[in-house]
Amino acid sequence: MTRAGIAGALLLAAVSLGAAVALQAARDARYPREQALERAVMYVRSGPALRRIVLSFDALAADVYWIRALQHYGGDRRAAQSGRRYELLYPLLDITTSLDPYFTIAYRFGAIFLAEPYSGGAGRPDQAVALLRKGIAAQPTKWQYFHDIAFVHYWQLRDMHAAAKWFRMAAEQPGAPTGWSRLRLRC
Amino acid sequence: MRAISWIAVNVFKESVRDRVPYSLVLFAVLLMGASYLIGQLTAGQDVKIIKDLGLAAIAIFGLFIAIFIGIGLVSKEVERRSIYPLLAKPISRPQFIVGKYAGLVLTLAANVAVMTLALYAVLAYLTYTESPEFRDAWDAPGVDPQMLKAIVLIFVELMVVTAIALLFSTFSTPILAAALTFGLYVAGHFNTDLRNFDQVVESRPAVLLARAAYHVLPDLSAFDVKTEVVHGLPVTFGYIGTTLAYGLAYITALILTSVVIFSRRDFK
Repeated sequence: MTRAGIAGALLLAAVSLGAAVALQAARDARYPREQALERAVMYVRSGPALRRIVLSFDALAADVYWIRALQHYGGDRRAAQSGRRYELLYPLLDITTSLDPYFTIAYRFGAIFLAEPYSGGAGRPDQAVALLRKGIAAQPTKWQYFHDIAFVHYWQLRDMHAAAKWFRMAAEQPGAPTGWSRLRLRC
Repeated sequence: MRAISWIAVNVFKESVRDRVPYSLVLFAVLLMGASYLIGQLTAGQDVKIIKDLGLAAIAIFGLFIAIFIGIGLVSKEVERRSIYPLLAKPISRPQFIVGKYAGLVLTLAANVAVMTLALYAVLAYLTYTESPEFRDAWDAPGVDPQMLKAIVLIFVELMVVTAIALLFSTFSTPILAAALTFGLYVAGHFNTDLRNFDQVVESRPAVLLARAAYHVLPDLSAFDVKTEVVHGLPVTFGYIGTTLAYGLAYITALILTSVVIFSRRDFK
């Protein structure tokens, strides 16, 4: 191929790429695609099944699902009132924590997203407690999970006795801040 | 020994000529890009995600190199007919096989070393730019020497996969060898299910067969301590030592089998 031929081919390739970009932009403007429908799909709902599928890359898959959970929560929270459903929040968090049982932030932030009253969150304190209990099953001495369950009982469920019980259990775990025992007394 | 090192160096040079190091550049770009993007996407834990991504990338890129170069180590020489002048030289067939394997392990070692350095560089930058309060919330330090435990085990796992690819390369075509190697890689990660087969099946012969398969197939899931290391959970030197010893023993068995098959092969 001559030098002029190569330059012509490169120029043609650049023009074709530019045309593709322009056509894509025109199509998206004329025929907008419904993104909400695409987002609401979860192909695999079983954490243990997914853990097998991804072989030894379970931690990386957990990161992907955690980011997806964040996007789902953020997307629904920013949507108009009618679009706020959070229906995939718990399944996404469940899969994240099944893939990586030590993913502290997924349990703690996830519980906040679930427990927050609707429409700021899913309004499901029961699911928040279930998620944190799953964290305790993976790491039975992690005082933060006991503390977070206590807060869900205290703020969302208004169950002071349960809150006191969980604060006491949090205070009993190794490494817990010493102030927690005083919090229990005030409940 | 001289013949082995000569073949090994040549395999390494050939890999470099095949543009294998370009994967390193791709890895570095992926990692740098991810570290910036992840900061925008996630709430906290970006250091965990970078570590997960880095370790997974080392394993995946290494797997590609091990399989796609490993399957051609012997069969390519046969296809090109370069095996005839090679074996006419004062090189024995066992030396040829061991040299080929050593060369690919050398390529893998160089790749893993550079990828490890790239990962530590990104983590060092992240550690430097984050505030001490933020760093205190991390499960493990950003630049954590404990990660080397996972990387060493990944490297030995890749050595096992290379030995499997070399074994299949001695008697089958590259495509079949790639399929068989990848199949064994997947089976190796499900191996623990075979050990626990007695919990789901009552038949004694089936349980014994499963137990035999558990011992014969490579136990690759044992080499995976990525999650533990990223979360700062303890991985004892005893566990690492026994897993490394298992890996080396398994590699020896595979190389010896490759030597036997290759020694009996007729190239007429």
